[in-house]
Amino acid sequence: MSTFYLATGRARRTLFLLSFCASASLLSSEVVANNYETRLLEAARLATEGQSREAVNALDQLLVDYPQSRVGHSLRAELLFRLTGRSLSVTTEKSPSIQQALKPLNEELGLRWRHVNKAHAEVETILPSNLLKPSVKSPFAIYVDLPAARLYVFDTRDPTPTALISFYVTIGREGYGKQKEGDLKTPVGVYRLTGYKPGKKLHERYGYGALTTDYPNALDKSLKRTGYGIWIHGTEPGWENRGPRASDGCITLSNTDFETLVTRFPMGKDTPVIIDDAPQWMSATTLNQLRHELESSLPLESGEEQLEKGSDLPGVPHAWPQSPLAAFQEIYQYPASRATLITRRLLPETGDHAIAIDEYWTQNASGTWERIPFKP
Amino acid sequence: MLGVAPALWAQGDASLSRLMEEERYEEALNLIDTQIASTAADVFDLQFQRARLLLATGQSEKAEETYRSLITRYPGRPEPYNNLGKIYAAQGKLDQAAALLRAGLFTDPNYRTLYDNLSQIYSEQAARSLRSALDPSDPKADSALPLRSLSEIKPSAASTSE
Repeated sequence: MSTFYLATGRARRTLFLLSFCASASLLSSEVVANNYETRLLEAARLATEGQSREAVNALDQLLVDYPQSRVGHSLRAELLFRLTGRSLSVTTEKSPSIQQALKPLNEELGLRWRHVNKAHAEVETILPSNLLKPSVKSPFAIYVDLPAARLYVFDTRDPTPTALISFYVTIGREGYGKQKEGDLKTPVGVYRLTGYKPGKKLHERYGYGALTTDYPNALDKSLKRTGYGIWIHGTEPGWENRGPRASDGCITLSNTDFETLVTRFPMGKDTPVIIDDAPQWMSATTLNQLRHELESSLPLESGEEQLEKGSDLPGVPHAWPQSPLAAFQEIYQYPASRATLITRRLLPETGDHAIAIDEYWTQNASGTWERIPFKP
Repeated sequence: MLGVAPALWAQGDASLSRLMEEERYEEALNLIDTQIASTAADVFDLQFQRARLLLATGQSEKAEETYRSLITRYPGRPEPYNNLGKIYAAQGKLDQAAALLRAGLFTDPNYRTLYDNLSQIYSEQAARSLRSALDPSDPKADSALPLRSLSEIKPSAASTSE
């Protein structure tokens, strides 16, 4: 008769949805906590510790505030099945369509869980190698870690950037590395924000609104990449957020997260958007070292002949004290190829409407940096 | 008095079960009320039977009240938790029903009916959550939908036939 005992006897059984959870500490080094994700992962932590009832209660609270959280509902289903001594995977094994629908939810929860545990475990290596010299003009930079399905906002006002917040994101159905229009992939590269469109002016599938980008950039065009309308936007009705791979190539956030992004971190035109397929996280010290090395090895003089001719113009001193394009304002390591850079510098004395010059660089066999020439 | 009561009890019970069999619930209720009024013995079984009759005659609120007062007075008896839980579940209050069943199992962890009913609630809630996970707007996923299939505990053979 003792076999009737509920829950406690089966507490440590491995869960289908939580099979990836090895450790269970959930502190984050980011400045701003995410209410939804924090609460969801707290419930997942309780579940991994065998506290099924407490986990269900935590989810009940969460689902009052986020009734469309499919991950929340599926975790709750899993826990309640566990309380009856069954498991979600066994219960659903005869319906492939249900298992198919649960798979992305499982993946999403795993990605969120790993993010928070990584943030806790790796307090030193917190900066992506790409942010060599972010813009000081734009207060923020957006960095997307594609394998981790994560969008970060970095504060770049200080020479050493700080991660302010990060969000779980959905990317293209076919993954990343966009080559042509309609391939349902998210591009990899360095882009700029070009504008903001509020949701009420868009189709409902964009949710709260959309930040637009300048994909394809000069490098993409030189590589004959096509497509357009790669945006960062909210979520369609009926979903808290989508699974990890569900868009046509855009990067999407839950509407709550998107609202946080655009209201708490107002980002102007030209804010850099770095979309990385193979992030390399490093310490601030290492990143600063890299920047110093690069700044001394990048040739300052411009490759644009007409700018060099400036000294022949009347009224202009014959010898420039330095190249007109003095210092690099921004330097980013280009994703996909670690040996490529994108830089931006400004034409001086163009006043409020400073003209930006973007250049792409590649490192040759001898280790020196050369501009990648693009046909106009 | 003490010598008379068991005789009355036996006689009353025989006719009570006949009335129940013939579904003459109103008369059965009257009989029980008379029995409760005329006995000084422990009335748990009579009250429990009465609660079931109140429910059978459509007096759901009075039945709930009776079960609640039985739980208050006999917190160690698992049966009222179960039957009140069944009423709550049929009203769509699955969380309250589960809480009652858990409390009932606390008095007797091996009571099969309570265990099965609690499992049934969890299964139902799990199924609804699964529906929600697939489509949060699925009307069949509404957590307030009634669940009518829980088992009721009837007075045990021992207490009705003696």
